[in-house]
Amino acid sequence: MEKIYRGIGVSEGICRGKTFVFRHNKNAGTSRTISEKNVKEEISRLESAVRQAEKEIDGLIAKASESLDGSEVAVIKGQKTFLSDPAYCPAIKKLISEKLYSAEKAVKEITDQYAGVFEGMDNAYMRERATDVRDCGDRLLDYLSGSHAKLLSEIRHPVILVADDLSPSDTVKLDRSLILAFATEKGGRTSHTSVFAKSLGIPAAVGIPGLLADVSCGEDVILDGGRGTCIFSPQPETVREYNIKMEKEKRQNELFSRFSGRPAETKDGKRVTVVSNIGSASDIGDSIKNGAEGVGLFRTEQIYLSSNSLPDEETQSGIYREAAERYEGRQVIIRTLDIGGDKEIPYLGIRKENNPFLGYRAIRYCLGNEEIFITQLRAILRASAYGNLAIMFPMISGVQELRAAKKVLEKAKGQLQSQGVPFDKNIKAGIMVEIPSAALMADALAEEADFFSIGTNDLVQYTLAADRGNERVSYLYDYLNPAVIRLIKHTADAAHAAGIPVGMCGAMAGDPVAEPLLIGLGLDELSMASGALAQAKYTVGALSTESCRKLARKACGCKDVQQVHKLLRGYYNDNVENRVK
Amino acid sequence: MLSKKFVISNKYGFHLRPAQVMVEKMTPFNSSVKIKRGNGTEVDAKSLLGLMSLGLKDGETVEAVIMGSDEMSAMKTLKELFSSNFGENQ
Repeated sequence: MEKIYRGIGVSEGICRGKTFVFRHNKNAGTSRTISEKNVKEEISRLESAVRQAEKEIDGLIAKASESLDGSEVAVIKGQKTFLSDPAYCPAIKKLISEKLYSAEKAVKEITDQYAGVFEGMDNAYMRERATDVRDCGDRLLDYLSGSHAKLLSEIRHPVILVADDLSPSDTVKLDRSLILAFATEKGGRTSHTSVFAKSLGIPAAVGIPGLLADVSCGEDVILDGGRGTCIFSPQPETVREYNIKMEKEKRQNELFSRFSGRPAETKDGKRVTVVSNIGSASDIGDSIKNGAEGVGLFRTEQIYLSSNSLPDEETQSGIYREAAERYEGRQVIIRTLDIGGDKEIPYLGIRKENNPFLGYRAIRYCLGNEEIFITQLRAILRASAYGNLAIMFPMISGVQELRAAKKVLEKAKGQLQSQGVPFDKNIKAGIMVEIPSAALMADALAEEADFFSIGTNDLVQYTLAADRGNERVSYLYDYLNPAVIRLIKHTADAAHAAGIPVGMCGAMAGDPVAEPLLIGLGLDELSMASGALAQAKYTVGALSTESCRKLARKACGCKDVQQVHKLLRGYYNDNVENRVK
Repeated sequence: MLSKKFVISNKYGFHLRPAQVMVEKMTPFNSSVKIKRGNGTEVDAKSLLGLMSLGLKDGETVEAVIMGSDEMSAMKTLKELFSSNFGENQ
């Protein structure tokens, strides 16, 4: 009988296949006690499990260094630190010898104890370390139960993986070519599993309650990564419905991919620059492959997050230089550190705030910590000698902040100049327009910034006073709200009056239904996840600027968000969608 | 045996990074290095889990007790760590 499970869709796409069920074996033996004569044997079981775990971790580190970015390697290395920590294994042994716990029970007790300490901390990064401790404990439990890693390595054919959860050490074990899609019971939008799915570009749904309650290997399943649904033993009718969707998805992807290598140009010849959002050097390959004409947003937070201390000028400069060189003269806009809000960096020790999105973050933090700021600016400037780099300041609320940021930039330039270090003396310095005050003061800012990039993700939540992470107000959070559209128009008009380019780098820029409006509002550059580039180029090619301008005028006159949706959806269906047969 | 009191001077408390620095610098010494809190709780200064579980706050006083063949140089290193505030700006 057909069973439908619903969770959070984190990576779009539809896939049908056979299930492979993976469950962490967490509780075997964890309530057992032993007799005194078995203490020695129990301790040697533990020691052998520790050796196997250490060996496995070394192997994982080697494997991860080849295929993944630094942050995953750091997570796995962290587990090795726990294994050799004098408070971990010795404490486990003590429970075995003094309280006659089984090795499993002792491992669980000590692991829970430390995980509990981390879970109780007020810093989100520290709380995440609880997962690492548990991952480490689970690994020992797996070896103790003798069942270790049988499952994931047993995958021989392409499958849809259904699991309770996937930890970083599970995902490095997977043969990626055999995973068509996956679904997990645990996890949320920002968990490791979601990031993993997006990096592979396969459909995925997470946070599905009860997923593993009644499922076995080899079941027929349809996974819809857009809706976040998992349909087991689908009825013929459901299969028919999804076959049509999958067929359409396939045809569309084939059609779009033909456009990826071409420049984006409207029917009447207006060029729109279609570029990628990237977060690390490992994103560059996909970006270039999908036809990016450069980078509209290089988020630099990952560089800080994947390290245990501040990345120095040399390290940063190397990463920016790699981007400068690989895009071969196409512009790469590097956004300076945007931490705070929902992004915490543990070693910076930024105090927890009641309203982090309205607090000490991004440019506010950088201007207050000039040393950190100037290190990054120097690194970008040094790399600018090797390609076409631009600098973008996040969270600018008015001209005074832009001036202050530019002053630090001038200081960095002066230092390099006097040290005789080469850099691009004409490097552009622009701003993110993501605070309503900046959008309203766009004319004043345009006189002093070299370019604008509209960040809709924050602009929407600040304009509508709706936290994007809060489910109860998510109905308000919508970039097609006419208030947001008017701010975008105001910003774009001010940029053009001052003769500077204006782009967009939020989720809106990669939405094909919104793109005709953005062309009509006169945006020069659209920056998006690399997976959306081909479709965007296709969409732009189906449009003409005059008609888009009329559309934009109508949208600005709309009174509510539903009206805008109806207008844009209709326009898209008539002008773009119908060309996709 | 050497012992000395230190005051935690970091407005965010004794968090992950300083703890890592302490473990890294103390591990090479043969001597045992213990960190004692006012209430008597005592942890191994070579254990990240131990140090983190103390959850030391800004302004708290701890006592370091070092015992072993190289206790003098271990104490010297520890003093330097506290006086440089574990390399953090304050």
